[in-house]
Amino acid sequence: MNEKPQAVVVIGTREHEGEVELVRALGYRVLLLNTKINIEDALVADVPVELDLNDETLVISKVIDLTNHYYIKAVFTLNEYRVPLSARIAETLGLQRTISYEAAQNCRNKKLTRRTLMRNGIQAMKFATVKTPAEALDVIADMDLPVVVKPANDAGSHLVYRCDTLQEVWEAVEAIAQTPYNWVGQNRDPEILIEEYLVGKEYSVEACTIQGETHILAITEKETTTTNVSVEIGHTVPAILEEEQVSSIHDLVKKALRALGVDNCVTHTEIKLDGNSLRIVEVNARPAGDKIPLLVRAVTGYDLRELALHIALGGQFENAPRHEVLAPVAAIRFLIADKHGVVSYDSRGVLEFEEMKYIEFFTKNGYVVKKSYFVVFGKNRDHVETVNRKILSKLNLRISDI
Amino acid sequence: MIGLNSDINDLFSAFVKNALYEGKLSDRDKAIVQLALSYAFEDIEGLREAIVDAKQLGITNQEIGHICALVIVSRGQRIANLGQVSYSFGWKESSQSSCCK
Repeated sequence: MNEKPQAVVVIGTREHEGEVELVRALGYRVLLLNTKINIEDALVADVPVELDLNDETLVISKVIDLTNHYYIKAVFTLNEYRVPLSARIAETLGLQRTISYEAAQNCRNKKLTRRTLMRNGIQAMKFATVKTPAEALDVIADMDLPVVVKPANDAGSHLVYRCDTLQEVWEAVEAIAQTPYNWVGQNRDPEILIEEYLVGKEYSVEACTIQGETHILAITEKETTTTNVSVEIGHTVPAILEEEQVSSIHDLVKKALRALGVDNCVTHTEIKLDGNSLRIVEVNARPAGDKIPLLVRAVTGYDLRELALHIALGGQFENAPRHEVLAPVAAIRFLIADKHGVVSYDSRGVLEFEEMKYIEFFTKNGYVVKKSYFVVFGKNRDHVETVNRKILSKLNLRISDI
Repeated sequence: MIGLNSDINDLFSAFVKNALYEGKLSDRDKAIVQLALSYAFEDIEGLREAIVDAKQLGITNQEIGHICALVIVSRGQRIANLGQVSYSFGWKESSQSSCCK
């Protein structure tokens, strides 16, 4: 019998996502490894270790060192950038319940995602990789504008450009080429992805795959700004779709996950639907961000973060933790400024809406705008949209020049 | 600024190295001192680093809380005593003064 305390290695954290608390709640010791650890997490974790998460050798060496004192049951991360590292650690420790490193890379690196889906006949779309603006002009000759230019291994829409002209393509490739590191300081993949611009309405598919079997938990409908392709202004669960569309989405996502080798994790797959044309934008081998887990939990009872941990710890779908379903429809609305400026709003009165379950302002009256949001639960789509409009009207958000 | 004088800087660096990495205190003792100093100086970044180090050395949250309490007591007593000293001083001065009279 193993006498060492049972522990879970938590790699990196996402802001306000509570990974450490989730692990603690299950009674495991928390071995938290992060580049920087805040006081709250340091206090909740049993062993907080600050080290450079981009130094894979160092991290693995530290985890192996920790195995002298703890029986490590799982490696857990919600952080997109750290999925391959977590997979590498889990594989090194011989843990069975993990996505493979190869599959994690297939998802993390968008170039590999495109190539794998293409090679497996899942999705035909025009794309190319280039290293310089001049190369870009060569490959663009075979593509129609607009195109999307983006780094292969960044995330969060960082350095993603929609380009309508050759000049914009040149400038986008040049801007990315001049950026040596991604958002978290990892070396940028030298190959820059240029792909056809996918038209259509955007959705994301929240799913989990356990020992080869994929369960689709929810389809999230996304609302984006009309001016910039990459800015999402709201999400609603569930999406309004025809039965056949839902079936096609399930089928496509399951095929894509299988082709990418994804197993033993929660996934967040972004897709675009244009008429009958269904395309995969990207596949993320971790739970959705942007508070989507809140919406999915309200509507399905499944907490995507809890589920990810449950899977890593060897749980089955049948015994996954499930909470009370709170509403048929849940939506988040982001408050986004259409220009730089100083925000003013009227928060009096918005709390009277019982359908509004969360509201968070990352700015104060009189300060420069940052992304804020509110979440509404309702009995149907019309109800949620009506409440959203009323809240927005009451808030009377205004942006004035600095 | 001390770097402007290399001789003194070298001496200081050697002193710092000695104090931090050598000497009679264990790593755990030093971590406790570091925690106490961070609380006393209200140094948030220092406290964050001290907690991370302390927990790796097996110092528990309860112990960290106790260290915090000791600093609060120390500062609290100091504040409380400031009032008492002031009152006492005034009384003695008054007494002495009337005695002299």
